Amino acid sequence: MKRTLVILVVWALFASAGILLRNNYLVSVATSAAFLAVWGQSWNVLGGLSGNISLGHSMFVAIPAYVTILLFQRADVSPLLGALLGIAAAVALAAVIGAATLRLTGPYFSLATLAAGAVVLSLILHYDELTSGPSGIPISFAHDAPEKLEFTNVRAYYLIAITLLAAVTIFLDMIKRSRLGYYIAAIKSSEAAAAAAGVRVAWVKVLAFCLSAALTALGGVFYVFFIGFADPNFLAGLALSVKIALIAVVGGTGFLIGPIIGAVFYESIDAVANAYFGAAGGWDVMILGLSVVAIVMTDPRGLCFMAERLWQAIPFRPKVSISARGV
Amino acid sequence: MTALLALGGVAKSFGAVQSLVDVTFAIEDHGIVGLIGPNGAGKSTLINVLTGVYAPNSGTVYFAGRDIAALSTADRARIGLVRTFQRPHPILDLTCIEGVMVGGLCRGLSQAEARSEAHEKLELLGLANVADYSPRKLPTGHLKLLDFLRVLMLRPRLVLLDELMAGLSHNELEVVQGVIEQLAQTGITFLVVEHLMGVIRRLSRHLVVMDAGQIVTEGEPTTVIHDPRVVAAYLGDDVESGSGDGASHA
Amino acid sequence: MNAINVLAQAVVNGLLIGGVYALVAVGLNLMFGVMKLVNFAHGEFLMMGMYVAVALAGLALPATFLGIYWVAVPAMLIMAVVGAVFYLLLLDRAAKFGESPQILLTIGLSIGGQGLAQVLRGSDFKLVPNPINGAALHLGSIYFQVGPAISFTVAIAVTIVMAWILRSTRFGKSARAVAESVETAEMLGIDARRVYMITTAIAIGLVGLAGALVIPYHFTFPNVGQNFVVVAFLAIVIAGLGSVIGAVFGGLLLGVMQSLTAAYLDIDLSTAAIYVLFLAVLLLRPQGLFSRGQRTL
Repeated sequence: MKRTLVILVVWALFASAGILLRNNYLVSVATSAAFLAVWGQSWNVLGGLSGNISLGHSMFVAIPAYVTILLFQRADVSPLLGALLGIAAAVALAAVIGAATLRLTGPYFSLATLAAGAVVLSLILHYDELTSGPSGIPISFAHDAPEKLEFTNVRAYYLIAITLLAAVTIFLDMIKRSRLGYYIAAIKSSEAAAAAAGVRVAWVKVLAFCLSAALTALGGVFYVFFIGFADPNFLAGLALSVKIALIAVVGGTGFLIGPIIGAVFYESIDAVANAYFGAAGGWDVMILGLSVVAIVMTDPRGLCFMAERLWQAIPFRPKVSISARGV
Repeated sequence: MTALLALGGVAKSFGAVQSLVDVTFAIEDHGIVGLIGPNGAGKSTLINVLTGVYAPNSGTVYFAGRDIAALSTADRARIGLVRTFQRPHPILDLTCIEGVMVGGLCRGLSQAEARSEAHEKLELLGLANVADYSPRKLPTGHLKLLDFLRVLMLRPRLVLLDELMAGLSHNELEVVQGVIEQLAQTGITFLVVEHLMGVIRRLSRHLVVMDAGQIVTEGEPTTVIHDPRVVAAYLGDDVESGSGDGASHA
Repeated sequence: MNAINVLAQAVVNGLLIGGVYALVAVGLNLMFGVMKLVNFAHGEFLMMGMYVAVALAGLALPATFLGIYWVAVPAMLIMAVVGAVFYLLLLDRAAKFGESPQILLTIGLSIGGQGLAQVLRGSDFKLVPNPINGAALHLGSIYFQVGPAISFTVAIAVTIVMAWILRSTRFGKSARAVAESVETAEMLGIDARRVYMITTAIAIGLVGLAGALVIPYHFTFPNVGQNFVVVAFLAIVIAGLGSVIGAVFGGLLLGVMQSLTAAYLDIDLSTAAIYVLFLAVLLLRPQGLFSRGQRTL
């Protein structure tokens, strides 16, 4: 309850800041970061809570985005209905991949999700009569039409993104404290011991993966309307999948604010590197990759744990409990 | 009355290593049965076969009159066949009481019911004071007891204790043995795998001895312990140690 | 060209492409078999091997056969040292963190490596002028591209040598023991960390060799590793994780599969086809095609 309240207050602060901020560029950077954080948070439902690393989450961004846009542009299906169908498609795919690989231990799941993501990308690129292939699909509109998810002011997407982020964060907090959350925690520590306590391990993992896919897909639908362009190599690319996994882990999977910290960290590196060295030089990728290496080697649990350790090292620190910390 | 657990000709091999050769024995309802044998005798493999971690190469396993070959570990646990591990398996991201609750949740209890029952169980073993702690900082003995309580939350009919007592303090040992005896009175059956002969002598009224993947003998504990075949099993075959049990240690 | 010729040509092309996949996959599966680690940065080590080979080739006149191939051995040795350093500096310390942080470490290294290459060497495509590129031998109506044919031959030779190393040398026996059980191996007096270091050195050395073999006919650029390593990941799962010899067959099989799809369906679908094969194997035979139960190496 207390955490939910904190999340809502923070949400309100960010919402008003976004509305008052005059700089459109900053608002859209913040919107991107918020979407990334939504995906990191969604990834955490399986990855953070159970320790199974998905490297194909971008397929859950791309599939609902394409389904929604194509149904809308080709068959005049409302984006709201299209979004539901797209999310359902993402969940169905997650169920199939999960059922095939989550009963195996080891890196099969990571490799299978990586492969499945690449299949989705190559199919989108190949069936270009349907998807326009590598050239992507532009979404253009001149007027506000909320029922079609079309807004001319970037702040609308900003509000959508941070609302989604708050909702996903509250949802993740609820999952952690639910029956499912207990089962996932048991599985993360030891699948053998979880099964011995009666937890149906494979079923729980597949369920968590489907939930994770659904939440990611929800973000994907709104994101593509915010960007106004379906670029297959971005939406379905390995780079996005990896980015989603990294921001979740870099932030720290044990913390509710982990993916948010991770997304802010990533977007700042991106912005700073691009400002200093230009967007094409590879500096942003290099700094991000090497900082992931540095973070894993320093404390594999991520930035939030490092911050907590630093905080505890301060001698006369005031007594503050970090409310966003899970158990 | 049919036996609670009945094994017929169970065999299990890993590559060239025949871990269980031909295991046939039965456990009657009610009571505490001891299972001993030198390292590598196949005790841990047997527990893994019973709980569905390994599928046997041949043979049958009946629990409560039912062939359980097709059931998963979790489903076996849910119908009352549970086990503990030699090494503790704490649930690191949950508090101690939440970790115990998992068993109750799997039985279908609500969170509130599971919490209050878990609390009673913790009090039973004198662990109520650590209920809200993270298991990360607790000693091994406490962790093993938490594992034990977690499976007790399933209201099992048969509990396989794989060296539960090893590594417990003297006090913990006393308390746990008392609790096991008490639970046995209420109708739970225990199969106790131990190296600690004191525990075996105190608890079990029936003792099964395994060696080289087979049952050597079984019967009343004091008689069995002095059986020359048992003495031979311990003195003769100790060189073979480690081959059969290896998989479960990993 | 008649139908048989089309088929034969497609199979030959596939086998020749598959040779490089095999070299990359062998190292991956060696590391997985011994260290239980999937090295997601393997492609970037290949890329690094290619840049090293390009730099070395620049030292001599590459416009002859020897001029372009002399770099293979030094590139392999340099990358083997890089591999040993990679183990000592990162993997050794990360071993205690468990599986997920190791995956993240190698992923971080993978994208960091791509960025680093871009910063240091630029993102343009490099190709050293050489006589191998485009050269082909005709055997009846089938033609063999010389560069890939050499890679293929070396891959087969390396497989035989690796099989011998694992079976007959002291290191090979230690590696197999460690793969089976670290605890047992250490009880037998085997220094597992030494085995890990040598394993990493061999695996990275082999991608160094692969890098030198492909520079005559393949562009070198920062993301080039991904072109090979994703297929190699699939190859090791299809073959069976940990099976070193299986990895070679997996690599060749996927090369042929890609080539057949390109010949008969569409070149765009050649990637999708191998993924479908991969997912089918995961569903039907998760332990892999060439793996018998839990035995490794």
